[in-house]
Amino acid sequence: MDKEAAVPGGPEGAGPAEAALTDEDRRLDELLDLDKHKLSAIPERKANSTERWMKYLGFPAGIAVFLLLYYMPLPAGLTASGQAVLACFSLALIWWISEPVPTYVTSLILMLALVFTNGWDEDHVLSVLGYDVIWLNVLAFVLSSILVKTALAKRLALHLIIRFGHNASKMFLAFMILQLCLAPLIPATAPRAVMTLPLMLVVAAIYGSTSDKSNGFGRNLLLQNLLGVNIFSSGFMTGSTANLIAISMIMSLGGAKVYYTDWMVANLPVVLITMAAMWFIGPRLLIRLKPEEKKPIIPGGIDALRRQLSRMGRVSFQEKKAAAIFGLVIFLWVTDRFHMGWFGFEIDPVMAALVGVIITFLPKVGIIKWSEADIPWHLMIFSAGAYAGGLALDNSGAAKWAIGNLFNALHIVKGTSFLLVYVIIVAVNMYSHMFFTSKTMRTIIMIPMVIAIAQQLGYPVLSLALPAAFTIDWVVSLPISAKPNVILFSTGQYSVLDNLKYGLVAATIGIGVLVVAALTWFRWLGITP
Amino acid sequence: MKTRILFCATAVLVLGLTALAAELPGYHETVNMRADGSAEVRLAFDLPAGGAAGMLIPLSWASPRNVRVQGPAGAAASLVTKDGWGFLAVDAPETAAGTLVVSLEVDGCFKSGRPSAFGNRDLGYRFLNVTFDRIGKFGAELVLPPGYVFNDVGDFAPKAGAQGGGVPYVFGRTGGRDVARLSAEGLKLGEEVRLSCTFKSARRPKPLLCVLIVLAAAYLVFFRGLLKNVSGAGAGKP
Repeated sequence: MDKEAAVPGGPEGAGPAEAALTDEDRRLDELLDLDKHKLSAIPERKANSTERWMKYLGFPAGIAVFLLLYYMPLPAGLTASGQAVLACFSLALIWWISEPVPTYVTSLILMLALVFTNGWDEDHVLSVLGYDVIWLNVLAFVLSSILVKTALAKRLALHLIIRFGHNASKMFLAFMILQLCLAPLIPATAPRAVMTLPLMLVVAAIYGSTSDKSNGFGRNLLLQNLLGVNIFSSGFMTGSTANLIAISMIMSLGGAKVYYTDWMVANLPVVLITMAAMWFIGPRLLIRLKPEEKKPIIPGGIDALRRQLSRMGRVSFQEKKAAAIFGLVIFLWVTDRFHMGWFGFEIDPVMAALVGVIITFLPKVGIIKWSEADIPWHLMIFSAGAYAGGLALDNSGAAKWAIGNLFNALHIVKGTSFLLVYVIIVAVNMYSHMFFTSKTMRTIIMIPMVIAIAQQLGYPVLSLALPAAFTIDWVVSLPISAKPNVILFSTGQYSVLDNLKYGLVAATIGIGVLVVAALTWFRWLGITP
Repeated sequence: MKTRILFCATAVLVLGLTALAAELPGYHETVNMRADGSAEVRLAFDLPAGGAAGMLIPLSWASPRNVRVQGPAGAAASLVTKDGWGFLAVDAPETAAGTLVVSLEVDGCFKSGRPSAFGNRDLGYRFLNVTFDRIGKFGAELVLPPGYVFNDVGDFAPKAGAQGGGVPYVFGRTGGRDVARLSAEGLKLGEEVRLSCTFKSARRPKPLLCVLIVLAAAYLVFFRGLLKNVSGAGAGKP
């Protein structure tokens, strides 16, 4: 490490005060030294008995499903490449969940299988590694590294914990409020994940959860943030581009006008109720916290953290530089709508992060060297393969075919009760995120379908299309469902199965709340009949 | 870009040389392909009110033959070529009304020889409206030879708009044969309906099936050590 970049308050920056340190302080230093828990190191995790059964049966189960889908007679409306992609993706999904081979190996196998089964061509598959989501991942980890290296992340996390983090529940709530505040300010979800990631990592470490040895706290924290980043976007019409596309479709194809406040008044309560439910259920039922995981795992408790914070002393020059670089990137993210006027072009989130990363590596001005950036490349490979599978599902038309057939199989006809139609539409839209990697693509496919169904059945377009639009940002069940999911999964704190469990429960609760809303406040607002 | 410029130039040239009719209410084309690359093409279109004199229907196929006409009495169709562009010249008296059906045979819909990688064969279809102000309802069906299925789509037109949300084609099956159905509403002068795609034999390779079954069985045998002490760990079996 550069002399300049010595971590204040950390083992290298402690200096003469080292001798005065107690055992508690030394253990805390060790715990908070994230260099010892590098994300780029592949952790060896001991599987429990259920996981070992899943590994054992997951491998042949994946192959069996692949063979069934690949060799069955081609269903009408599906292309041969679409069938191959469905078969390959199903195999990968089963292997990601059961992990008979590491997730990144499954991704590599998926990429190979897509090419060898003629599901997607080699050029497209290989080019996924150059997609903006992968770049953003790499850049996010470099930016995260400067906050970790300079101990700014540690300082901020200590402040956060001393104020809110006396127990796990309060800590989860603090992060949720943080994500809720950021949602209307920064419409892009990935930057929000990147901004808060270093804080999550340090807080998780204080609660004893690192990438090489994660615990219930870390899994819950990361997954609650995953829900927060995605679902809070749904509370605001400008929360994502896909929301705006859906609204323009509802207005142009359905002839219904929706204002910003209409959206917020109707859907923000749905979001808040669901998130409150997940905050309560997550650590109690889904990934249960052990008693020792409910408090920071530090001898001396909060007092030790206070001591640690005061030992760090004043904010160092390196920390200020890191804050300035990160601040510049955040400034560019937050002000994206003004870029056209200022610069004559728009700086998208990836380019904004690239600006920060370039400064980070510049001699003298910068903070770290390339070798000090902690980039988990194995997880980039996982992301690339998983993204390739998702994109192939979109491009081959397999996702659209599956959703279309699902609607057909449900036999929605004139005379079907509104509530039943409503539940089906909301449920299909909500769970359909598992077949897509792009919210925009999903919106373009699903919303016109819903508008057509509403018109065919004689129900107001708004009564079905708007609730369907409310589900667009609920992309929470798989690491590949959205960019922030890829970024958060790359921390290695939780498994695909954890993500699936958390996401499906959140989505199901969301459907329940949307149904209650349809019977109550959506009626009062004139959305549902 | 070059292709586009060439295409536009050709379209302008043809447009300049062709007598324009106001509007064709409907046009439907069915292409029944055979394994040797030839096809039977059936064109069906509604005659405009007031009959037709030398009405030109642009053809998507080079060197058609065996033209047969069915429809209102007095209606006739013949093949003409203008500047290398094939047309069906239709004449119908003022009293003729209804749908005119023209059948013809074409060759070379696709290359019937050795397929390319993965057994794929290229197929292209293009209808360019160079003669009508507007074609009300356009439809085309590309029916593959028996035993073949569509593999993937390369390019198509008209492009899906964010507002419309759809693509101009849908795949389906008719009489046990794979079919691609193209459609467009209000096809204006100079607009085209285009689909380039690949298709292949419906048969899947058998060796892969055998290899994967062996692999799954081998895994169960060689990795049974994973379950050692599972019962002793006290956790439930799946």
